[in-house]
Amino acid sequence: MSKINELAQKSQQDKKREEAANGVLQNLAKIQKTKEAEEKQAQKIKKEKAKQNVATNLSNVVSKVTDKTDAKPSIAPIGLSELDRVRIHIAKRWNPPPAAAGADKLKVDIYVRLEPDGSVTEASIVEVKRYNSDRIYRAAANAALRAVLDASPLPLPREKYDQWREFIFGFDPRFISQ
Amino acid sequence: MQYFQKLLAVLMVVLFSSLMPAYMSAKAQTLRLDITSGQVAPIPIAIADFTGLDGLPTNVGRQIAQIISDDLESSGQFKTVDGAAFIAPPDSPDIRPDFNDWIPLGVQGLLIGSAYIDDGGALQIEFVLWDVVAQRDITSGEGSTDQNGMRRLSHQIADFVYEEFTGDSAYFDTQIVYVSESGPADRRIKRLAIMDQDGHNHRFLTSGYDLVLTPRFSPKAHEIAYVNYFNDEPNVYLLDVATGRTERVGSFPGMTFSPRFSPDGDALIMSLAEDGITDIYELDLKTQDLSQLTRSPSIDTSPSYSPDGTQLVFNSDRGGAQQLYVMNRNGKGVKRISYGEGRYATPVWSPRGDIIAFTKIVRGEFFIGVMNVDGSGERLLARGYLVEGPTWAPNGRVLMYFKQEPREADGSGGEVAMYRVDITGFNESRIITPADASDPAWSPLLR
Repeated sequence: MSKINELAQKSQQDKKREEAANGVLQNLAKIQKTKEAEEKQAQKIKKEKAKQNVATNLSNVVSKVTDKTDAKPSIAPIGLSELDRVRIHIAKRWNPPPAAAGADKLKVDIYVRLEPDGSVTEASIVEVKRYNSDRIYRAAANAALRAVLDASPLPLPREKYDQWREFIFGFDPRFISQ
Repeated sequence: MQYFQKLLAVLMVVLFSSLMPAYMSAKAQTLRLDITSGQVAPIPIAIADFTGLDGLPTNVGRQIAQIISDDLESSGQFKTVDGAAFIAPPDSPDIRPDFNDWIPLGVQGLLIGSAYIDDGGALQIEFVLWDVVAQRDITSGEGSTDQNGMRRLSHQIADFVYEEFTGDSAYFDTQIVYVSESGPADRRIKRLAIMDQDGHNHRFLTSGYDLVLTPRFSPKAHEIAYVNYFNDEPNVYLLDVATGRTERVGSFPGMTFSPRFSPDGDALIMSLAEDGITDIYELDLKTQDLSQLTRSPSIDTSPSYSPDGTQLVFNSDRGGAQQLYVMNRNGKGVKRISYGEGRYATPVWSPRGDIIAFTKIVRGEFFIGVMNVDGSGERLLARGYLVEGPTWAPNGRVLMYFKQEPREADGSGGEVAMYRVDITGFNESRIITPADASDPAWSPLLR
C-alpha cells in the first residue's frame, strides 16, 4: 500500500474512533479498489515469474508491435488439434461467475505473452475501462485471468514457439445459460 | 472439379492467415483463441480468523470470520475451507500473504482481517480480500462500530466478497420480517417479528393482541405495511420499524388487505373488498388519493409491482380458476400469463425484473415456482403439503417462503417454518426461528 494511502487511513482511523465512541454504526467507510498489481510488486516480494507480471493496464498490449522473426518454412504451422489442447487445458480451470448467466456481451479478452516452455509471463485484461466501471465484467475478467494463470504452463509445441508467443484468449461465458 | 480445388485453396489461405501468421508473413502475430466452455462450481475461498494487534485471532475476530463464512456458504456459490487446514494463519491484513501457503489449498480467494476493541470500547475492523491465483488484492476496507454493530459489519464484508467474486449485488446485510405464530389452532397468536437474514437479532414488533398477516417492507426498510385484524375486520396498517408506532392506512368502506409498497415508496397497492367484490386499488401516500385499478365482479388480489414501477402482476379468478395476470400501472392492458394446470397465487415480481415467483396449487399439493414475465418457462422450485408466499432476496437470486408439513393423517399439526432456496432450485435450507413462522418478506439491502 502506498504512503498516501497509509496516511489517509491513519487520519480516517482517528476520525472513526471519535465516531465510534458515540456508538454510531458506521458503514465500511472506505473501500479501496486497488486493482493495480504494480503497487503490490513494489513490495518486492519474489514470486514465480509467471504470476509477477499480472497487470490490468493496456500499455503492454498496445506496444505489442509484431516482432520480426526468421520464418522457418521447415516447421509445420500450428494446427487446430494443438490449439484445442490449449483450449481444453484452460477450460478445465475456468469458473466464470454466475452473474454471467444471461448476460449477452460479457466476453472477456485476455492478452497473454508466453515463454518457450509455455509458461505465462504476462496476462492482462484488454478492456481496462470496462474492468474499472462494470462490476459483472470485473468479476468475469478476474475469473478469466485466474484461469489463464492457473493453466500456466500451456501445453504448446516448443518448436513452433515463433507462432504462439502471444495469444488473445476470448472467454465467452454463454455456455452457462445454455 | 478444378473450381472446387481453387475454392479449397482460397479457404486454406483464409484459415492459415488467421492461424499461422508467422509462417505466412514471416512475422509473429497474436493468435486468437476463444474459450467457450468452463466449470460451474462453488468458488473455493479461505476466510481467516480476524486478528488483534498482537497478530493472534481475537474472540470477536473468530465470530466475524464465522459470520462471513456462514453467509457465503449459505449462498451456495462459495465453498469455504476449514481454518484447521491453513498452513500458516495470517497475522495481519497489512502483511502480504505468502501465497505458497494458500495455493495448495486450492482456494481462489483469501480474506484476511483484523478486529479488536480499542481503548474507547469501539470495535475496529480492517480487511483485505486477495485473489490467490493472480496474487493481488481485489478489495479492501475498514470500519468501526460499537460492539452491537459487529454482526452487521460482518454481513457487509461478506457482501463485498460475494459481489467481487460473483459480479452480482449481494444480500447478506438484510432483514426478514415475518409472522411468528404460537398457540393452538383455534386460539392462534400471530405477531410481527423482525430479524437479520441469518436469523440473528430477532425481536417482536407487535404484541400479539391483534391477528396480523402479510408484512411487507418499504423500499428503504423503515416502514412495514401489513394487515391487522381489529374487531375481526382486516385492514392495512403501517408500522415504523424504529419507533414501533402503528397507524391504520386511510379509512375505506369494506376491508383492505394484501398491501405492497411501490418501488419508489410513494404509493401502496392493495386489495379492497366490498359486497363480495375484491378489486385492486393504489393509494398515493402523500395525497391519500385512492385510484381503482381493476373493475371486475371477481376476486382480484395479491398485486406486486414490476421493479421499474410501470406494471403490476396479480391473481384473479375472473377466468374461472385463479390465475396470474399482468397489467399496466394505470389498470389498462390486462393480460393473463399463467395457463398451467391448477391454481396460481401470490405472484411476486423479481427485483431483476425478468421473472415472477408464485405459489401453485395442483390437486391438493403446493409448489413454489417461477415463470418469465410473459408466462413462459415455468419452473417449480419447491413442493410440500403447504408451501406458500415467496419473497425475493434483493438480488433476485434467492427466494424465501414458508412451509408446513402435517404431523397427523388428517393434515393437521406440524410445524410451520420458513425456508429459502436459490432460483436454480438448489440449496434449500430452513430458517431457524423461536416459534412457528409464516409470511416472510425480505428487506432491500440496508447499506
